[in-house]
Order: sequence, then structure tokens, then C-alpha cells
Amino acid sequence: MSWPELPEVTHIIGREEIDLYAELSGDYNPLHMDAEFAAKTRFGTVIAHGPIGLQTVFEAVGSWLGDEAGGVRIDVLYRGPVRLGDAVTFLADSPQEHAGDLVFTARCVNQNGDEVLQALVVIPRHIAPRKD
Amino acid sequence: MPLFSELRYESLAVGDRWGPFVDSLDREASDRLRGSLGNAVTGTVAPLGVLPLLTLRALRRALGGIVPGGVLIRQHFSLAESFPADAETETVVWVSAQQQRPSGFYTTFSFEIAHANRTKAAVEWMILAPPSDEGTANELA
Repeated sequence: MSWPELPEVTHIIGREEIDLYAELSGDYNPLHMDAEFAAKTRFGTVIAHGPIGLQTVFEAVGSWLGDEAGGVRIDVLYRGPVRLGDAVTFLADSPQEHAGDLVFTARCVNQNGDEVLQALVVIPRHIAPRKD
Repeated sequence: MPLFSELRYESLAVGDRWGPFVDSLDREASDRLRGSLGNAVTGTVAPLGVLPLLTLRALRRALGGIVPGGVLIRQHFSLAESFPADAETETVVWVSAQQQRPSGFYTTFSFEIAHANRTKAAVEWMILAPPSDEGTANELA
């Protein structure tokens, strides 16, 4: 049995995206919202809410699977901040079969190749699309 | 609700529990979390992107704002059953682990999200760590 790859997905993280996530979540932490405040932190610049970079993972998995995502598990290790203006790209290895699941080892990198997160995506084999 | 909570992670205890917090998703919000943020992609089922949103909202309500000094270092999502893009959800949150390490105090929050008739839809947990000098994680506050 062969399985299609998870798609590569890139999002550019701008002010608009951060403002929208603040509006949706109610999280107006100045680290995300205030350039002057953020400049004084160890990050030196505004950083995005954690789930904003993760959105590339969700789009890749969601577009690959369609609506039926029951049984999907995603484990995330945050490795670095996503800064205003970053281009975050989701990249996944070929799936490995394990105990009725497909397991994808994946990561997100910024435009400099710096890893911002690692993810293990586990999808029940019976809901995965087939290549042939 | 204030931006920052008056609580501190060290003042919480394993087993502390809050909720259920009722939240109403709407189609527009779900659509904006289906692809790249803000670019609406229509659909009838809630996308995976709503999961961290629902739990972040619930955590803020549970703690009365964001507890300062937490860095999100790890997060796990397990979707049991897809639910509608305009579902009414209930989220319960509790402190499931704490650990004092040489590098500081680590707290794990766990969440259960249910939808219609309290059907379990998803389980999530997140680990918050103290800020590190490397600045390699996503600081909540």
C-alpha cells in the first residue's frame, strides 16, 4: 500500500494574521501586539501566538484528509519563536505504518531554515487517502 | 477579563479543575482557521485549527487571564470525533502535572472538549515552562 505525502504548506505571518488571532482568542499579550514592548524582551521583536505557526500543520493535514479527521493525533514541540514577517513552511517525511496508523515526522522552518516546531502527526490508516 | 491573571503557576495544584466553559463557534471563525489564517475556506466541519483556539480561550477564562512567565514548549491534540463548524462546545481544563526542575517550574494543563450532548470531541494537553535564555519557545506572557 502506498500513501501520498503530506503537502508542503507555507504561511507568511504578518500583522494581519497576529491581529486576527488576538481577536479570535482574546489574547492581546503585548509581546504579540506592541512592537515597542516586544523590542525590550529577549525576543527583540514581536512574535506570533504559538498556534499561528501550527496553522501550517493543520492546513496540511486538513487538506490531505478532508473533513473526516476523527482519530488524528498531533504532538508538537515548539522549538523557536515565529516573528512578524516570517514565512513558516511545513515539511513532512514519508509516512511510516505503525499499529494501524500512519505516522508522519514533520517540522516547520522559517525563511532562514531555522526550525520553529517539530510535529509527530498520527493518522488512522482507515481514514487516510490512498495513492493508488 | 484582565489581560494578565493574578495567579502564579506555583500557586496551582495538580487536580485543580475549571469549567465546563461553553463556547460557540461560528462558521466564519472556523472558515478563517481552515487554511492560512484569515483566508476563509468554507466548510461545514470544524477544522483542526479551532482546537488550540478553544483551549486558549478556556485557559484564559479558567485562570482569569494569562499567567505571566509561561512559555509554551509542547502541545498535544487528539481529535476523537469531528464536530460542526458552528458547534457549541464545552471545555474542561485541569492541572494534570507539575514539576520543579533546576530550570524552573513546569505546569501541564489538560483539556477535554465536548460538543452536542457532551460527546467527547477532543483531548489536548500543553506544557508551560519558565522562560529560558535561549528564547526558543513561544512565550505566553
